Amino acid sequence: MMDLEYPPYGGGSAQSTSNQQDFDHYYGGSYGGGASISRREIIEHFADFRRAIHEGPVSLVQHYYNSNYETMIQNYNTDWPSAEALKEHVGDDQLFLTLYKEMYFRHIYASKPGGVSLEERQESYMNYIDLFNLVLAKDHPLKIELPDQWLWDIIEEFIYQFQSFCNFRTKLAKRSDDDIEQLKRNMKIWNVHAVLNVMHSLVDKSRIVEQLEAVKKGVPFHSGGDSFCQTNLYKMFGYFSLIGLLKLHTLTSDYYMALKTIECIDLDVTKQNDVCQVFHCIVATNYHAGFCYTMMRNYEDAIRVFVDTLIYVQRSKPIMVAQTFQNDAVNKTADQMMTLLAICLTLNPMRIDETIYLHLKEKFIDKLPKPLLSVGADGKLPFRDNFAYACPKFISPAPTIFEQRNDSQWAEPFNRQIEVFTEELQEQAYIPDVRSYLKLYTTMSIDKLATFMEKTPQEVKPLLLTFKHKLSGTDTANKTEEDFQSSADIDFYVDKNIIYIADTKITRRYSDYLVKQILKYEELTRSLSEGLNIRHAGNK
Amino acid sequence: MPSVNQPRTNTRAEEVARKLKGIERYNPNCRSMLEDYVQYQIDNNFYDFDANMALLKMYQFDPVNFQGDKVADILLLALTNLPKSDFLLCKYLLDSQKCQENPRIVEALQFSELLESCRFQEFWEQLDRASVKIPGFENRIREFICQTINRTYQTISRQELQLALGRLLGNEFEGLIKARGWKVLADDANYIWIANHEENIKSRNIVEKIKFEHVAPVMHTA
Repeated sequence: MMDLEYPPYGGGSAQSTSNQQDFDHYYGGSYGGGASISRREIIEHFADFRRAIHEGPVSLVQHYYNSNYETMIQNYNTDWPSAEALKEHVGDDQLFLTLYKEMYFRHIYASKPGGVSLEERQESYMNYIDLFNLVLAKDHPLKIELPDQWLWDIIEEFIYQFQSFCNFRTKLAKRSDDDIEQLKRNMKIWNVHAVLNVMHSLVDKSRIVEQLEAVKKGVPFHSGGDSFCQTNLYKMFGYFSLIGLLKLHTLTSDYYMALKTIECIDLDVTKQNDVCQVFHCIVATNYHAGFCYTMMRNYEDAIRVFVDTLIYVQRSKPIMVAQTFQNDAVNKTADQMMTLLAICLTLNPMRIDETIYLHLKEKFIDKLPKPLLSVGADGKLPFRDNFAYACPKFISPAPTIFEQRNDSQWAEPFNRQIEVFTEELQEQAYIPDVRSYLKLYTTMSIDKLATFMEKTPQEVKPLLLTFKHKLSGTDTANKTEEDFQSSADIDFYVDKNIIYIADTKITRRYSDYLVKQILKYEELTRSLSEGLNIRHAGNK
Repeated sequence: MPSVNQPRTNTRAEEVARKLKGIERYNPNCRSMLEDYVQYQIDNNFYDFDANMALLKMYQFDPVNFQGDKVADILLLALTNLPKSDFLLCKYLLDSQKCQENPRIVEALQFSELLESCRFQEFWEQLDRASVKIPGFENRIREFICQTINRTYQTISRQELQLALGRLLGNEFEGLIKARGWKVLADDANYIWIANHEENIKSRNIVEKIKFEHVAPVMHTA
């Protein structure tokens, strides 16, 4: 049983008579004057927060959690009280202190000028291990309830800090000798196996894969007396860990494993929303899934996922008021998805939602180099910048070679990914040209195409085969009309020496637009006439 | 809980799959098993992409254990699964410097480039100069080539087809044509009929179909 006894903090009226030194003692540092929130209020806030966590309801915890960030973010100069200082006031509540430290370090990572030190990284890691031990290493599930948003933030931050540590330990040019010695001595800290172990343990404990597969099949899930997987805390931790693994595998360029991990999740946003109401999580999931599809040359699936998610983001903008720090992240991810979508559409043109397409064309497609792999005047590939913006920040899970005191081990993962992706694009380099010539005719001899492209017929035939190889998702024979609505715009076959070209023209859909406008107009006339009636009534 | 009958046959593939569940996939102790398993796939003419990826991942985590020859084998096996993008997925996990150092890997990369850009004739020429000791390799590549030709051509010249399919003896060539349901044109033996694309690949004009239910809400008497 938790000991909820803690010395209540001194009455409010006594505050003004306390002297400055008392404050310094409590807060382990000098109290910079002029901050708009007093230290006392901070401590009180966390004490209340702690009480809410233990007593519930979870909506109150959510309230504290949200206001936490609002108040603390507005006061960026305010140092968070150290956990030891807090302990004096709330007592030795290990669970709360561990949760508090997680938020404390998150704040440090987000805002500390000059970057996070090695000690802080190590401390934060140890804190995560403590936290996950508290969650996992018990016979009975923890009795507290935390808001889903918080659980997602914990997992997300955990993976982010791992990524940050990989960068830290590979950017050796600026690493001090001390730090390098420390790193060598503590190889287990932020070790990739440990991180994977945490994720997998959470996934296994919650039996989330079984639960999701049951949902997919539409059958009930039988927990068989397992109390862990029935608790929301464990279930959502398990779910978010799947996404954490998706992210981890994408960062280490294992796109196969990334997609395999989330096989049990239906990427349709409405279906995801049934299981997980954390907006940012859905966006992150689809961004990474779409990115994996893009790297695998599965452009059609990538495009569908991106468009689906971007429409969802647009529609959810009014709801995105709660946490401003989340909004920045979502907006950045949305922009990255737009860039990737632009790249995929350049490689695999197809019809998509009009509103998305209009926005995309202006801001993203027109900014891509044409052709994609064109070399600039300075001998560099401008496409690298587009890709660098849109891709996740890759890391290498391999141990650091400390003797190489430069940044090459840090740069290598990204360089490798863009190298392979560029090679793939080079294999497809002539496809856009072939497409644009084929679009002009319904039949064309191979010789004619060869003349247009300034190649021999022998060189052109492989190009036609490559076109089919790289870009035929499904065979034309099995396509239904719905498929055609969104599939590639052009198809062809070769008979002896003639190419027969099929163009798919889709007429504009007017019905949706007209219906919407009619309903709007009716609504307008109705409210106008109601307004007039009221005025008349008022005038009587 | 109803009891499930365990299948009697514990095939090697199932055994490996079991060992790769969850966190165990990353257990360095699995490495030698996976390395042996690659040879097993070659000897028994089958393919396990998941296990091979697990091995590549281990090399990624611990580059000191990188075995160039195993990687080359994995890459060649991946080629046999074209048009799937297995090879591409493998590439992303490999260190470029280590790849350049192993001639068999370089060779596999060249094969991939030729096959992915459908330069089939050049591929067979290159294969002639190499020595790929994977039984069934040629046949599976040929399968991929046939699929791609199937998608692209309605009728193809005999000479073209022969070059694309590589060193086949006369009767093997005829046998393959029959097996795939292709036909030599009656009026011109120089051409071989592949598939009927005329029916499926046609220009389409998709006109909007307005369903009644869609406009019912707005169709009412004022």
